[in-house]
Amino acid sequence: MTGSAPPERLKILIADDNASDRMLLSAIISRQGHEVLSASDGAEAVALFERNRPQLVLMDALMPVMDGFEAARRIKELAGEALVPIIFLTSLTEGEGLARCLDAGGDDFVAKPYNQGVLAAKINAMNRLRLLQETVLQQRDLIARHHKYLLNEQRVAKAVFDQIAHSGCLSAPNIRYLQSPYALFNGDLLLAAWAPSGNMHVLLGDFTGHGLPAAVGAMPLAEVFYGMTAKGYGLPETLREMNAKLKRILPVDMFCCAALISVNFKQHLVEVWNGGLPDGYLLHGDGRPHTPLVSAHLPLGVLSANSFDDNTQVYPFGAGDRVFLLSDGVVDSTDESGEMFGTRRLQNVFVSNRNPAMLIEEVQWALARFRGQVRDDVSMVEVGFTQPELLGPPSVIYTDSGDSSPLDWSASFEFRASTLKRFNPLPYLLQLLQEVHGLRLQSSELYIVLSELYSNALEHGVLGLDSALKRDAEGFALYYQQRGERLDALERGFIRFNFQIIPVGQGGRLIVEVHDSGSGFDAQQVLSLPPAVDQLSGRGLSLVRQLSDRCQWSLDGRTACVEFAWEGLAYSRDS
Amino acid sequence: MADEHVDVSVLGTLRDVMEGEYPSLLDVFIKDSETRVRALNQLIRAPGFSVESAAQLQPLGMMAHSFKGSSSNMGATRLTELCRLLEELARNQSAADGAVVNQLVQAITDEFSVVRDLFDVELQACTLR
Repeated sequence: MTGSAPPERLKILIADDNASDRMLLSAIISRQGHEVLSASDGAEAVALFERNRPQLVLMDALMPVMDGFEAARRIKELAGEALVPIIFLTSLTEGEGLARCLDAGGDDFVAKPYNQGVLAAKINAMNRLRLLQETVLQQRDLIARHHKYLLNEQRVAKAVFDQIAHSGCLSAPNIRYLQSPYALFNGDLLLAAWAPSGNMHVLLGDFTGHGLPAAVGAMPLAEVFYGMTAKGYGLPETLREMNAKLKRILPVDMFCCAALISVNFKQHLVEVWNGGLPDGYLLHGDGRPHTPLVSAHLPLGVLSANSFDDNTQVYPFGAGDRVFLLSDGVVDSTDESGEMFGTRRLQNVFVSNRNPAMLIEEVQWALARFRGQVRDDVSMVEVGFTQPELLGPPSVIYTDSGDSSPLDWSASFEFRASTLKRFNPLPYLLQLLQEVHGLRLQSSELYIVLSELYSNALEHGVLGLDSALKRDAEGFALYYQQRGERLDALERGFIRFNFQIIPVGQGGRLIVEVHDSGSGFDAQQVLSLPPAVDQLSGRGLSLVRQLSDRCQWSLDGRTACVEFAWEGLAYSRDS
Repeated sequence: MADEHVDVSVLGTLRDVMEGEYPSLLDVFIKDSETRVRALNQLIRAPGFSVESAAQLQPLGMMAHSFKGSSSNMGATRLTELCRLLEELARNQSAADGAVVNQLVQAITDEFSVVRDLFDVELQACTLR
């Protein structure tokens, strides 16, 4: 025997009909430290294998009852995926016999007379193979377990995320979208929510990476989006907060390309911010060529708070108009030769589109024709204009009982130049007013009136912008450009809010005065004009008149005063 | 022990490997081989046995093959060689000649009785040791 002792004690099955050979082989194998099971024919060998599961088999080819070939086939079948090496004990010399041994699943041969050294070496070699196979199977099972675990984690994460994402209003009649059910794990994210003003906010985001890492940022982003939209924050504040949060929590190589829009159905406007997504499109209902909504910013989560740019673009948005946003999976789809689908093919779909309701399907078909199959990271959303009354009231949920509602108070606020430049006070003011339970039923009207008065005071008063500019689309753009420039350069000026809550019987009244430092305007003249329903300018004041119970302007046009009243509340205590 | 019949060094190794079981290995081999020799003789003397028939040559070849294996393990050099000749003859039907087959089976029968006598002596030597 050589010095290469077997590394472990194996259970070895010996099958030979020849009694003396079997005896000799058993003695040799036992001496080498293994446990021996012996059988005198093939059927006995198979039965012993089933009962004792030996790790290795030494078997004569020619045996009565069941020969070695058949026994080997059955043993291999019983062993399944595990490798049970079978060494044929034979001095077969002719090729046909050897081939039959291999066909039956034999792994090696040992010829008679037995040589102890050769036997030990072959058993060791076969055992190494067996262990290798065992390791491979273990690792495969480990990978399979990990994979299953990962899928389960993704399923749980998706379920949690769906709870958050589905509290939005993606099902609104003016929204159409296409998204893979597992888009979350491609990093794609689509959110929509009503603001208290009745505006609709929609976000399409695309995180870098794939799998769970791409999905982790979606959760906080959705929370900020829904939370701030519900509180009445506008796009700039929401964008700043989203950017700051992602910057704080994501590693440097992770960020989120995103487009965020706010649709103002009452004033027929859409406000757009695009950071890193492919061009979106404003599709005009009147047949004018589409307006690209080009990315003018870095993605969310890249820049620090100081250098983040929250400037948005504002466009007129009316009946028949649509905003179309898409993830890079659309234009970056490649065909077999590596050519990209590209923006030109996409725009061709816009041009040839006849039925607006079929646009997303037509883009999908064009993609399918282009590359045979649609990628799973293709996300598209189309937001249309609808008359606000068709959209239904935004539902706002309150959690307090109203018992501690304050009913007799007044408060004044003055916001000065440096604050006006970067702070939107409306959400705070609205939250304060909503402590008054009786006002909650009209919180949407209250919000619209307050934001209208605030933007009038800021834009026409403090910034001195001329609303007449907003006559047409070019003037419109110029107006918002000037607004941005003047706000940046603002050094002095203020806006004052004065609130009075007066109890009246079971109900009460709210009187709001908004006063600005501007040069005022001829309120009588503006208000005597007929409501300019079809014009871009002049919507604000008529809205204020419609929505408040009473409104008036001081003669110098620098102070607006509006009133809201409510009756004794007929709400039941448990509503 | 005559070297042309049994390889003494093989027996030495067997004694080593089998230890106390050595005598019973010899005994089992002798009993087993007696059966084989009887079966060989019965096969070729059976009425209607013909070397022209492949169906009859095949079991003859298998018997020779099996006997060759155990003889070789026991160091019965000459017996192994005779079994090998018979096996090859049985496999090669065109060369098979009834007279040669009969001679070979007779030679195997004679050789086995020599080997058996030698192993009987060896067995007695074991008892003495």
